[in-house]
Amino acid sequence: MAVLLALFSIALAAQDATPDQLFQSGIEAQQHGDFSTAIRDYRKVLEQRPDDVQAKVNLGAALAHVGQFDEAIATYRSALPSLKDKNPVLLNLALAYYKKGDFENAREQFEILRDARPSDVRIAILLGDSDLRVGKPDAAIQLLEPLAARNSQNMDFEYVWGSALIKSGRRREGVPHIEKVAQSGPSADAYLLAGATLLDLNEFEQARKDLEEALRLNSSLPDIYTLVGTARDKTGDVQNAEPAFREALKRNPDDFEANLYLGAILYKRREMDSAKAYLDRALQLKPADSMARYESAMLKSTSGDYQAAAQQLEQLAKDDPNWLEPHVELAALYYRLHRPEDGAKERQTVDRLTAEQQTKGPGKN
Amino acid sequence: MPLVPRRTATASLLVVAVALLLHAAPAASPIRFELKRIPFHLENDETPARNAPETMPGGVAVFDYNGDGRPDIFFTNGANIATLKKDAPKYRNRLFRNDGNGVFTDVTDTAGLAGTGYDMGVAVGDYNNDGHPDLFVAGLHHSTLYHNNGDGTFTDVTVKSGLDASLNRPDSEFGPYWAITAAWVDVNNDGLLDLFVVNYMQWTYSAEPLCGFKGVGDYCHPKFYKGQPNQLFLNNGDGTFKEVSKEWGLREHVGKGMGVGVADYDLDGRQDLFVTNDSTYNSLFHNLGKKFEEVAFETGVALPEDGAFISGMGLDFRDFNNDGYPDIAFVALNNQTFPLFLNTGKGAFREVTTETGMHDASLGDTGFGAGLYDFDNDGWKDLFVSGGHVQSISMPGQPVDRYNMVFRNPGASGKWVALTEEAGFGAATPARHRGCAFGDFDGDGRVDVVVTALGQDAEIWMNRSEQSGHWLDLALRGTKSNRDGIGARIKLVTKSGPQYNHMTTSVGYASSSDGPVHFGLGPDKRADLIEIHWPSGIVQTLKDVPADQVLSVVEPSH
Repeated sequence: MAVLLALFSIALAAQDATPDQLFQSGIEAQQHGDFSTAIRDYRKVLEQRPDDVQAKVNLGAALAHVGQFDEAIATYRSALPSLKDKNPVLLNLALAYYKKGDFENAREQFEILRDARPSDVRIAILLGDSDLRVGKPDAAIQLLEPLAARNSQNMDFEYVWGSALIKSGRRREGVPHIEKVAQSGPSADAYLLAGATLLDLNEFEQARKDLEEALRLNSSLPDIYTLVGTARDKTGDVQNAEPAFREALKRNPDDFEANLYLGAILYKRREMDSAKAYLDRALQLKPADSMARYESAMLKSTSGDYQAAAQQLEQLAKDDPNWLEPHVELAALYYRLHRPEDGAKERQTVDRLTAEQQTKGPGKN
Repeated sequence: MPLVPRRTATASLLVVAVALLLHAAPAASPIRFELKRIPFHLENDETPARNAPETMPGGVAVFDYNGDGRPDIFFTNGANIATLKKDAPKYRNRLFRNDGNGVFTDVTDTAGLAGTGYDMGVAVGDYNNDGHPDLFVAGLHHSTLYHNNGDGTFTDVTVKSGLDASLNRPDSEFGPYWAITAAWVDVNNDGLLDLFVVNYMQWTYSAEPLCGFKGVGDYCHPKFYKGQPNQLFLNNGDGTFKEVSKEWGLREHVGKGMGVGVADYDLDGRQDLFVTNDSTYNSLFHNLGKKFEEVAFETGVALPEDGAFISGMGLDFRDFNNDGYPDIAFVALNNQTFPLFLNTGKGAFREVTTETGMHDASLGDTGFGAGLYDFDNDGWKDLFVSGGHVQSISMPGQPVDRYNMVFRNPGASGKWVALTEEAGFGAATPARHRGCAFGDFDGDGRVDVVVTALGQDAEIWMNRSEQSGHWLDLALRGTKSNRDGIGARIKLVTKSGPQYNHMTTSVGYASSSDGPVHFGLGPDKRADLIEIHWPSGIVQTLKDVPADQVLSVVEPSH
């Protein structure tokens, strides 16, 4: 009863407060991290003084802080026309869009700010990152490249710059920047990005080092177990790849890569039933995937189902006539299926494809 | 308190003691080797550029060059990779005379076998039937035939024999030949050993690395190089040879030959050849008498069961299941297994790598040389493998330096078991082992092994298997057939059953083993029957032969 009475008296006091008092109370609440009280107070100020720009700005900041980005954005926008110096609020607006995940609009606001404050590297970083997030890595490169030399010790800059290089296809250039960020943190995200990129570049040993470090720092990173498993597998450490893929599948049974790799590992170990289950699942998830179809065909061939294996390989060869491996096995399979003429034709195809590899020669691949 | 009779108490103590002993000392490995060193250092001139040939030496031969009954050892060696010349003494090939009691003496200079080029492999055979085994040394762009003069010296007869013109001059289509190894085999059953040369691929020197990792050079995958065909030289019987590669149907089969095994797989009386190729299909050359037909696909040995190209290396082509038909075992890199192909007896082979346990036992292993010998004399041939990777940079989980290993054949049932530490191979540090050759260096009836390793001293592994059974070695001397008896098929029957072997010196990787034909007899103290099918067609029968001896057998006149 005493508590109810106390609350009632506080409500009465709020009703009686002047806009200035409410504004001050809002600021204090905001400073103490009590954003709901701050929002309530600023709204009351605006009920009484709808054009109070400062209240709008503060309300926008409080709303953004609690994740109510749409209302925060609307509030900032309503404040902007009345402001002489728009840049601080434009930055807040841009950040609200950025945090909301609306990177197109964030870009738009950051571009305005960049034009106004071209030497502000923070704006460049955020604009560059927004460029990357909307799939415009070349725009990010154009923006960041002139700034790269003098910001090499700014790890935020390095991360975005390295990411831009990677996403624009300059992966070998980008990885050292990301690895620098990773080591300076240490940052699990940066290790993850560096490792995943190196994996794509077939630089498996270093990829594995980075990914193992990412896993050590944060085992909750998305796809980390699959990536670590892949790196282990590619470096020949099948024994330790297997538990990583199993862990990945524990977290997400529909992880295509983990199903495929684990199936292939088990097939290699001739645990045929288990291998088949994982490869079948991989095929269900991505029926058109070439590797899943190839592994499945190999399993059928080793199991003695030559006819089915041949059919599957024929389809793969049809889809990608220059992929050597299906032809290699098809040639042998045709002889087993008593189709020597077809086998001879496949051997010719294998000879042609291997000759093309040889024409390139070592060091040109 | 009940009284315990003294006798019972003693028995209890004995039981405890036996139990303690069992726990303290694990059961001894049925096959066990002891390491001996021999002062031969394999110099491959490994450069930062990692030219492909630098990872390919070196072969080794076991043969009795001076006829004293003790097997001697010949090693091939590298050279300056840029010039392909042995421009320093360290590159000399070596011949070590077995003086008995474990003493080997370097007699290279006296013998005249130091060589001149970047040598790879070696094949032993008495090509002129004079009773003195001769040497063919396969090399990079230059191979050599040495005639054994019978007085402890050899003469380079490469030019005189007519081989130089075909072997050591660039081919118009395939360039200079890179011979890895060779086989002496009488392909036309005329009593003269012919020469089959295994060629690898087309290569030219580079001072800069063409492949590698993060700027550090490593060996390029063979898929980037063009292959070369193998060659056949018929023995004219007058010290000269004639190349018949085209006429015998070999030139059209371009491969990347690594190893060759000789056996009559279909028992038609003619010697066939199985060739492992690096990262392409294997070849099985079926001998039709006047030419070969390549039948690897038809017989099911072109590709292992995984359906992908593997790095086929050293091999042996012998009957490992004692059914009278020669089978095939060869080795490859890790994750490729060491495939076993069982001869069905119907002109084809069936891969049994998985069902024999060899798949699981070898999946993580990497080998170069291989040989099927009965190391514990139990009547079943085991597989020795010299371990080592082709690459020079280790990856996690993929060390390039490896131990040697032996896979024990369980006999009629059970799975093959890999023995490494148990067999004593942990006594040497892991290395990039290459060639291996086999012979009984100390005459104790147990087959010993000599192994080379890149940039290392060679290893001699003396067979010290404690539970070794009885044995019988047959030293053949052909009269109508070639003098070495190469190609002779032998059936030996004891109380435990029949087993089979044949005479060949082509075993392993780039290596040659010219010992008597070895049989382990297990518990049997005699062979009830020995049946020798000579290449001439003559069948010789011996009965009731005591075990534990080297028996000289001369081919009868009819």
